[in-house]
Amino acid sequence: MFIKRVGVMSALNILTQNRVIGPGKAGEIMRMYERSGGKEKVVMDFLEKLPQDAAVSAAYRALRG
Amino acid sequence: MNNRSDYFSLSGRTFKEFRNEVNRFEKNLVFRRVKMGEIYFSIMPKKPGTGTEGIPMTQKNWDLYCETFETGAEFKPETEDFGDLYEEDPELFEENRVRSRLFLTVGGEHLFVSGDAQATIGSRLGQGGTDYNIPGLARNMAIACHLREMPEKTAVTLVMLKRDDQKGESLNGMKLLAMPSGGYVHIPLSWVPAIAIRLAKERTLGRPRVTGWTIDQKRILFEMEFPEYAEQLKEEYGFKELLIPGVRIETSPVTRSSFEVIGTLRPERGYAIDDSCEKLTHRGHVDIDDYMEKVGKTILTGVRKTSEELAKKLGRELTESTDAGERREAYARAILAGIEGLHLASPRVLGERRTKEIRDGLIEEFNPDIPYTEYDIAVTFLHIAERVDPLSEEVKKALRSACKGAALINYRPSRITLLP
Repeated sequence: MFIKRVGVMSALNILTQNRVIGPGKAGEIMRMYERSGGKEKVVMDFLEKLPQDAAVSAAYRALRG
Repeated sequence: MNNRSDYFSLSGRTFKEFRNEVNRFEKNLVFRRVKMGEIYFSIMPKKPGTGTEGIPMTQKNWDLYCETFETGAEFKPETEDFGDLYEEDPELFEENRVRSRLFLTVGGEHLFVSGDAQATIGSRLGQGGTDYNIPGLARNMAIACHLREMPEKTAVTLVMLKRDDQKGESLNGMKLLAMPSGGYVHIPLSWVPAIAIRLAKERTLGRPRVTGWTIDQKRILFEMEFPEYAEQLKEEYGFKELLIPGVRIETSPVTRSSFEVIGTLRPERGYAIDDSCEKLTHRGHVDIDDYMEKVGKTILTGVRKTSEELAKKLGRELTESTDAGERREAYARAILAGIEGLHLASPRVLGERRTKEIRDGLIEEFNPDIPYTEYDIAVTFLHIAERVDPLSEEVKKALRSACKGAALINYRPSRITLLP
């Protein structure tokens, strides 16, 4: 499935604003996503590793648009 | 259909088929650099059924003809037997009679001449191209006269098409597709599928869908669209209907055009319009990696730029400082940089009074718990028209238009001019 770039950005931004990750990490994941040619797996794998709290749930929702 | 016929044409909708046909076509292309002095043309008689028994007039004959016309002496045309070409391919021979009525002789070997080659022959002789597409006395005279005036050492390139089973060095029986200059550099036709693969693999525009391809002797054309990205554009720019980005890759074996990658945009229920184009001429050094780099910078930047720039901004914090005061200051500076960079205070957008109100409102929103990035500020400006009330539809439209470039602003300026 093709995840919209805007969705990925919103998800990562939610994580940054809630201090789950720093902006540097968000930028790194964004670059990995782009290098992969927009693969869902890159972002999903990353989200799965995080403690599943409200901010991560919101990020999942943003990702799915 | 005879794949060497002027009317040869293939089309389809699958990539694999396209790649196979392009490779097959390219395998039969032959290029030879020769001097003008090594070639001459013969003119076929128009009357059908005369085969090769007519009077094929070579350039030399026309020289004689011009002289005898002036002096009134008797004209004795030289004849040349092109029976070998008739035996080689009678069908192509008859088509040659209708389309170009020309044969080319180079190093004693006989070649068919495609109808489309005539324009390039005209160009090489320093004449307007398309007039040469009409076989007739005027064209024949022009070829003869100008060929006589050309320096013999002038180099030209012969672009030819051989038979599928033709082997060896002999040019006999090949078909001349074009006669570009000696400096002509062939850009492989196989670049078309190769570039399509690269663009598809990059996946920055999502999964592609092949919309069609065409192969004939004039051009090779491949088209694909990115419907998934259209959904993203709709969301990002707030379009009312889907605008589907696409790419058209085009080249011409008969040197009618440069190699081109064209970005297109098509409304869901409408025709595609050309958005951007990157051309590569058949000259100098050509390298697919260099070209792809240029394509990446040119094609569809209008619809790619915003999200690409936003993605870069995601990782850029406004300040590395942990001090609350400094963070607030960096945030305010970023807001001011946006207002200034997007010219929101201009009377055509918001005017100074309203801009100040919005500026103060945005700065007021600062939350010391959030590590703001440039992305946050850019998104704020991209959506500002929807957040500010009350604004007339006209002002909202002007504001949306002014904020289109919000993703391209530097929100960490070293210096900023404050509004009074």
